[in-house]
This record gives sequence, structure tokens and C-alpha cells, in this order.
Amino acid sequence: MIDTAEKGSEAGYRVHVRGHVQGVGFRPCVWRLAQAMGLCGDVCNTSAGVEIRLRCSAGELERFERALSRKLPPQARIESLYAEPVSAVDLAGVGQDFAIRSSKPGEESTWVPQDTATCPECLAELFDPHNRRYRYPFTNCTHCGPRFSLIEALPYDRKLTGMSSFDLCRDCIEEYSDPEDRRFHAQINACEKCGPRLWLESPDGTVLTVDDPVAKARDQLLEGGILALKGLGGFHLCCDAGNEAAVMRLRSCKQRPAKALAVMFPSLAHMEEFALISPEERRVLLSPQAPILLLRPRPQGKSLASSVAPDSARLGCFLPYTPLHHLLLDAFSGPLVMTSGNGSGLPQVIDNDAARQQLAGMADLFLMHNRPIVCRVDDAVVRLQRASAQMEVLRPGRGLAPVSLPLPPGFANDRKVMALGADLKNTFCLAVDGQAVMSQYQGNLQQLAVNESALLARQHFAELYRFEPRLIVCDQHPAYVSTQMALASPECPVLQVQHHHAHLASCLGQHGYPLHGRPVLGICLDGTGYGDNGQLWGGELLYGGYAEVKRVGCLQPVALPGGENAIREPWRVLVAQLLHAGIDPAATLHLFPILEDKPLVVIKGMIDQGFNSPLSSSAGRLFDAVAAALGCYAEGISYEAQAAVALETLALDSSSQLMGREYSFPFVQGTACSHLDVRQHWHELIADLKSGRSKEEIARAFHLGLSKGIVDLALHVRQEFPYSSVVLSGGVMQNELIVEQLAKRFESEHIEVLRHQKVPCNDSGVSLGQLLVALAQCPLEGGQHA
Amino acid sequence: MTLSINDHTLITMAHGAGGRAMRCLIEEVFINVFGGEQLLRMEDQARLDMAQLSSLGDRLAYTTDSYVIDPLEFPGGNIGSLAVNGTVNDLAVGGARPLYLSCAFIIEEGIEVGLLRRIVEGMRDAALRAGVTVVTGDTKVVPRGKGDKVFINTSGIGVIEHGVNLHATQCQPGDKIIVSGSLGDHGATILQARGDLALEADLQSDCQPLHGLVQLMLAECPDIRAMRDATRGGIAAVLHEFATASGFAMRLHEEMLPVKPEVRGVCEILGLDALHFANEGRLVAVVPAKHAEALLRSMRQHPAGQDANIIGEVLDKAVARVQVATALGGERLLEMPDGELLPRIC
Ligand SMILES: [Fe+3]
Ligand SMILES: [Mg+2]
Ligand SMILES: [Zn+2]
Ligand SMILES: [Zn+2]
Repeated sequence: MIDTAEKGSEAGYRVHVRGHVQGVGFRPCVWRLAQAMGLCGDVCNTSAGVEIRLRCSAGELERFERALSRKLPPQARIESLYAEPVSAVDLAGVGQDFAIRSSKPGEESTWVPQDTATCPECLAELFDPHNRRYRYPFTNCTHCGPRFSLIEALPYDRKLTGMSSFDLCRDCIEEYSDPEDRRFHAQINACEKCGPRLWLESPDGTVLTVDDPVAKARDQLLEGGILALKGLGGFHLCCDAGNEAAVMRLRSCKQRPAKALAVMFPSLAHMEEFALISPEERRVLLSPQAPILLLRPRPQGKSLASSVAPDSARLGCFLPYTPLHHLLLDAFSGPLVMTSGNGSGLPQVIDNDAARQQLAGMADLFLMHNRPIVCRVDDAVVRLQRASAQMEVLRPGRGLAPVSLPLPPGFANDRKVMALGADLKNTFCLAVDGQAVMSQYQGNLQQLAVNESALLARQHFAELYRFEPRLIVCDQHPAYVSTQMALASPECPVLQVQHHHAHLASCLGQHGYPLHGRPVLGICLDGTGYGDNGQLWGGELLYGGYAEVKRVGCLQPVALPGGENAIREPWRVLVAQLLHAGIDPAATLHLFPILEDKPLVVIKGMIDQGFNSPLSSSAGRLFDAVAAALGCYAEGISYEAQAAVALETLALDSSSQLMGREYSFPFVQGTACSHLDVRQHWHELIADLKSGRSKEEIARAFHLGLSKGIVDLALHVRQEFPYSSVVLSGGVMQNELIVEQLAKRFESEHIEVLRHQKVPCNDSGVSLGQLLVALAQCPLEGGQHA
Repeated sequence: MTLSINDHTLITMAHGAGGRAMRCLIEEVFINVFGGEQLLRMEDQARLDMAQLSSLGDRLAYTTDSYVIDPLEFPGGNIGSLAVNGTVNDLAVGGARPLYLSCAFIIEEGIEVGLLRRIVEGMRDAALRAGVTVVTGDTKVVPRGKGDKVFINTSGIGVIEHGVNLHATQCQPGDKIIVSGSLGDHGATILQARGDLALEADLQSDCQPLHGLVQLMLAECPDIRAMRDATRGGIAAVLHEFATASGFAMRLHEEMLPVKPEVRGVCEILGLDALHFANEGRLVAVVPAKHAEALLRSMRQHPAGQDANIIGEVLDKAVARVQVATALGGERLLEMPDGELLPRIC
């Protein structure tokens, strides 16, 4: 990592450091080292990172570099360090000590620091009755606290943050100016005397005069109440996770009938009573990012209210990450449901007035403060991949956003490109200074308020990174809101990228796969995405790389009678799949009672005539159909992939683990594109249902069979399209059983498997892929697509 | 070859050849049914009295439309009544009093004269109801396979009273959007009448003239900003036109939209949106908010406006879009009707 240029006998050195080195206490760390070693020189932030000037010998430099790599602040990460020998002239201004110089205008970095969970030192102070910040809910230091969510503009400096209206008190100034202090140059330093304050409000906006707002909030929660809590990146709604009535009430207020809710625990020890936690998972939970982590419930362990996560085999768990959360969870000393505070169809509330308006009908009490939230950031959701113990991001949010990845080798790094991402689970992505910078999760752009909030976020990023796009990239779907917006803006050329090509490129990109690397095979198992020639894709084998792909395999396309309604009502795809498999749905009513009251003749007519029944090779819809066949949410789903999640939960059930049964998914050689036959397994499934096999076993046989079928097809196309790596991408790869089965089977064929980790496999990852495809397709500034 | 014509006679090319067969068809079917002195004169043109026209207003409204529909007959009307009401309504929503129609038939060889007669009777009844006179017409016969049974074109002339000025450009932020009745009845009826989807629902087209309702509305509220009949493309198309012309966003509220349960059922099963369904007797008006309630009350007194409702408003947002506040909360953009909408959910 550290690479030193030839060392001469010059007057000293100029050291260029790149990486996560701003807003993380890096300069104070350099200052302390230089002081300790008695070196003269200075340090300052530049647009590229940090520059250190040292009047020293080659030997001293070497010792300094070694010490620096050992003593890095927790949040700092050095990507490259390069020391160039300089003459005395270049050291002009260096005195008889070591100084921190302020950055020159125009030299600021474009690195945006991420929000960081309360560090152990601050946490200790929070609960130390003798500390001056005892129980102060906004304590932070150079190692921890809000950053991205509080920054208005760069450079990272108090006057350009949401703290600009708070003047530091004498004590805080002293800490800020003392290089020996943990709060030296802590831009958002604050204390009880000078910083933000906390208060309680009733839903009608009355401020409650209580000694201890946190204790009062706790009491309300103990009584089964719902609390609106102003957090770091937005408001939370919370309630007692052990109180079924409270959780149900929260669900009905939020109009969120079933989607799993995240739970915050007071401590790891508490969490372990409910969930299984591996050592690696423990590390993720305690990391400065403190994301929501999906965990297995502990068998025979304590259980939460049953409506916390009714469909899912996993629990979303996290630990307190701000002093305020610590105080609340400490007071409550039990698990709390913590979900984003917003009206249905609206983005998470960040503003006090909006909270009063939107959440008044939901919350019994408001725990408010007067530190503004500049930038909305939802909590991040991650899981650990079992085989590799690698962290996989499912929703890029607080602590993990913005996601910044170096452009893979071969990519020119001077293009100003903005990729708008997919409409659902939206993120967007910019190419800045050799990095791809991906935004935090924005939500569903087809919700107008979310779309407007995403628009503001894009403007915010454009200002933060001083970025004016020269090319806009969007999906190919003509009815995507993002596509329409891109095409409506006259200022900028637009490039449209196929949805699953973007999924594939996204995974390649996060692995740093070189631009001109050998072709790979992308297995894109997804919901529905707009394919070539107006087809609906979603179960594709794509061969190629960033610049182009060829569709070499897919699932047999099956009709979606009723279009989007078929996605919301899985019984429709069940009917379509049965008909496609040559089975008369009317003859299966004893097996699928859900179909009894359904207009089967009309649906068949729609399919036969192609009336609003587009064909789709979507894998997600096949999962929906099988889920419907097993009685999981056949009537309708209340959130994306609900039926498929329930199907996976059946397949993961321990009672099915020992069964090795696999349904048949033979492939059919095609001239341009081979198909996976999705008819045969229905006959096997029906035979199994008739013979009384359990749903768990059937669900598992489907998962295992489908992954085997896909791998067989992939190996078949390999004869004509050679590859040594496969990419596993698309929203269906959130299904643990499928992705693990695919990975295992490919690895046993000695094929390298590239899975998503830093960037989600679901549509949140699409923006990165779009960006890279665009950069690969038009490498010249300006592009060829006017 | 016989010249007498009865309902079982099939139309042949001779009926369009300009000879005796054609004259027989015109006299037996068109003139007999329509009557009226202009047609009886059988000149090459209708001659309209200008003094009479100018006594009614200061501008002529003139419009034309061609009617092509499968099936030709459906609950609530046929292509003939449609061809009259469609053109009458195009005149009416401009604030005009409809007076005269022309009608031109393109007939495919082989259809029964009985069907043609029913269509013409449908036109006659509709014209009578709308108070308009068919004053000139034309008939062509095309060989089998070169047309689709019957196509009709009608043009209409009406007079706009002094002071009436309806323009989509006049929509102002805060104005209310009113629809005159339930949405999508016609579109759903046609889908069902086609019979190929085996839809079971008790449906009837809303095909009807709107000029009476319009006159009533203008009397109640002279400063109505704009009005359109929501035909092809449904009220979605109309609102997009309003938004584009005025430059302001339009917002609808899902729970205020009058949609009959039967129509809702058809939309739900087919996965289509009633806002995109054609109507043949519904208008959308944008009116100043302060008059909206009173106007609504008087509209509901009129048979064509019984189910009228305020369904939304013009927003103070200078962007040409249409948004729908959903029953669950949140708002979505309403698509411009544009063929089949492929699913956008991943
Ligand atoms: Fe996708
Ligand atoms: Mg028209
Ligand atoms: Zn700290
Ligand atoms: Zn202070």
C-alpha cells in the first residue's frame, strides 16, 4: 500500500496521501506523529486527499510512514501514499515545528465522509456521571458522529454543516484547538452548553416540560405507545418489539401489513437471546457503520412479537448508533422496533415540521431535537454471506453511503457521467475523479414525493462533488419515471442501458473487473426488467462484459396476465404457468383452492389473445407462481417479493434440509438463445402435492432443481461461449438458498463466482452498472450519443 | 337483379356504383330514416341560412371525426349514435350549440341492409335527442376485405354564443377539475361486447349528447376555464392536454373518481386503468374553485351529470404532468395513454 519514490538527500519530502483521509481525524493524527518524532513540516487537505511536507531524512521518512500506517484513525483508509523528494524551495514556509495548514480554496477534496456510530470513548463519556457530556445526546468526536447526513457542502467544515448555527462554547473551542484532544478539529463538536438540545412533544405540537425526555419516552414505550424519534438520517417510528399489540398498531398506522421490521437491541448480549450471531456478524454489528444485519433467530431462544417479521426466516437487527439511541435503549433495556418515520408512499421524514404533520396520526409522542438533518439517509441493510463471511449490502444507507469505488482498470476517469439507476429501490451514481460514487437508497421513484426527494439528492450530490453531468444514463424501460425525466431534459445527451446488463456490470464493477477482461457469463435472476425489442426479461444468461452482452440463455417466457396486476397477484402467474405447462387450472382446484373463485376463463382468454399479457422470462415471477401454488400470498402481496420470501422461508425450514429432491428444469437448445424449460417441474410439483409431500420439501425441491437447471444451461452454453467466471446478479440473488446453491455448483466446476458485496444485487445496484456500461460504450468525453 | 331492398339484402358493389341500386339504398335507408327537407332536396350541398346562424352567436364551431368501432352494436348504442354524439360533443365542449351534421358512410360489401338500417336509426335518434339535423351525406361501398363493415365520418357545425371562451390555456392553480359522470363505462362495455374475453358484467356505454349539460354549466358559471369530452385515451389524455396547454400540473384524487363497481371489476381483472378508458358521454371541466361546488350541484340536476364529481385540482406547479393521489397515500404520475403499459415493477 505504501510506496515511496526514490529517496535522495534532498531537503525533505512532499507526501501525497489519497483515500478516506478527510473528516476522519487524519491531520491531527499526522500532527501527533510528527510532534512525537520531532519532525518539522506541515499537513493540509487537498483536492486529491492530504499533502504532508516534512523536513527530514530518508530514514526519518520511512519511520514516519511506518508509524502512520500503524496509528491510522479508525475511520481513515489510505488508498495510496506517494512521497516525492523536494528541495528547500519547496519547503518554503515550514518553520521549526509541525503545523496544520488550512486548505487552500479550490483544493478541497471530493471525498464525503460517512456517518459513523458513536465510538467507544464517546460512549464511555455518555454514561460517565463525572464527564461533562454525561447523558448528552449529541456527543461526538473526530472518530464518530454524523457526517454525510449533516454536510451541506465541502470541504467538511463546521460552517458548511447543519451545525453552523451553533457557536462553540469556551470548553468546546479548547478541545477543538488542542491537537492532543480527541476533539481536535472535530467540526461538529458540541456539548450541553452550546450544542443541540432534546425535547418531547405531544402529537398536537405541545412541548412537554419534563426533566428527562428519554425517561418519559421510555414510559410511553413501556405502555405500548409509538414514539417518533428524530434520528441521524431521518425520523424513526419505534415501539416495544415484544408487544404484539403495539407492533400491530404501528403496522396499521404505517399501512405496512407484513414487511419485516428492523429491531434495535440495547446490546449484543440482549440480541443474542433472540438471534444467532457469528463472530463475523458480531464485528459487523459493532462496526462504525452499525448497519441493520439480517440474522437467524435463535432456535428455542426468546422471541419477539410474531408480527415483527411474519414472512421471513431472518431478523433485521441492529445496535444503537447515536448517543440518543444509546440513551433510549439503555432506558428501555429491551428490543425496540425501529422503522423509518414516513407516511405511506412518502420518503422518510427529516424535518421537524414535516414530522409533526405526517406522523401526528401515528406517534403518541415525539422525541425531537434542533440539529437539522441535511441529507436523508435510511438505515443500511446488510447480511453476511455464509461461505465467505463477507458482508453483503442489500440497502446502501447510513454509514455505508455514499458508496465510493475506484473505477476498474481500463476505465478513463475524467468523464462526467451520472447514472439515474432503476425506478425501484433507486440509487444514482456519478463518476468523479476516478471513482464511482453511488448514492444512498432513495426508494421507489414512481412515488412522486420520492422522485422529488431523489431529484434534490441528485442536486445535492452535484453540488457536493462540483459535478455537472455531460452524459445522463438511464434504463431502457420507456415508462420508467427516470427514463422519462432523462429524456425530457434537453441539456444533456442520454444513454439508455438494458436493465440486466446493468445488473451484470454492477457486480463486475464492484469486483474491480478490468474493462478489457475476458468475457463472463452473467446469471441475472430478477423480477421484471425491460429487455431488447420490448420484451420483459428477468431470468437471463448474458455473455460479455461492460461494453456489450449477448443473451445466450433465458427462462422460457410465460405470460403475465394483467401486466402489473400479475406481479401484485401471484395467482395470475400460477394460472399462466399451469396453462403454459399444459395443465388445465380448472382441473387443479382441489390442489390450488385459491383458484376456485378466480375468473380462469377470462385469464385464459387474455393469455390466448395476448391481451395485456406480456410474455416474460422473469425468474421472480416463477418464484411467485410456485409460492402461490403452495398457498403463500397467492391472492396478493403487500410488498415486493413477499410471496417469494415466504417460499424461501419454507425452503430454509430445517424440516426440509435433509431432502435432496430436485425438480427437473431441462434446457432446450435454441439458435440464438437457449431456454430453460419451466414446464416439467409443474407436473412433478403436482404429483408431490397429491402424494402429500410437505410444502417445505416442495419449496426446497424447486430451489435446488432450478439452480441445477440454470447451472446445466450455463455449462451447456459454455461450449460455444467460453468463460471462466460467472456473475450472480439480480434481485432474486437475495434468496440465500438460490445464490448459495448456484455458487456451490459453479465452484465445483472450478468456475470463479462473482457475487455482490459492496453493491446490492437488487435494483439499488443498477446505477453503478449503468454508469460503467456507459463509460465502456462511449469512452470519449462528450460521447457519441447526442 | 332486384332493386327492391329489404333487411336481409346484402350490400353489393352496385349499391355504391352511383346507379339505380345506389339511389334505391339511399332513398330506402337514409332518406326514409333521416327525413328532413335538406336531405329531401337531394342537392349536392346543404344550404344553411346565415342570418339564422348569426342570430345565435358570433362564431361558428366546425369539427369532424371518423368512427371505427368493433362491435358495431353494443349495449347503449351503435356506431351510428356514436358518430352523432361524438361530433355533437366535440362541438358542445367548445361552448357551441350544435346545429348541423354531415355524415359519410364507407360500407363494406356483404353487410346486411338491416344492420345498416339500425345504424342509421341510431343516428336519427341520437340527432333527434341532440337537436341537430343531418343535412348532407355520402355513401361509398368498398369490396369485401377492403374495409371493416362500416366506417362513418361526421362533421358538425355549431354556433358559439358571444362571450363564451373556453381554452385549456386558461387553467389556473387552485382551479377544480370536475368530471360529469362515471369513468370508463364505454371502454369497458366495448371490451365486453367484443365477447372474446368472456367478461361477465352488467355494462352499458355512456354514449350520449352533452350539449344540454354544457349549456347548463355555462349558464351557472360563465367563467369555466376549459372543457373537453374524454373520448379515446380517457380522462388521462384530456388532463395531459390541459397540463400541456396550461403549463401547470394536474392532480387527481383516487378516492374521488367516480367509477362504477362493474367497470372497476373489468379494470381490475384486465389490469387496466379506467382513467385510460374511452368515454362517449363524459366531459372534464376546469373551473374556478369558488364556483366548483355550486356548479357541481347544478350539474347533478341534469341527466348527463348525475354522477358528476370534483376529482382534483390544478396545482401551483409549473410542470406539465398529471399526478394521482392514491388511496393508500402518496402520489403517482399518471401515464399518458400510450398503448400497452409494460410492467415497471422489478
Ligand atoms: Fe432488477
Ligand atoms: Mg372527437
Ligand atoms: Zn467519538
Ligand atoms: Zn460546548
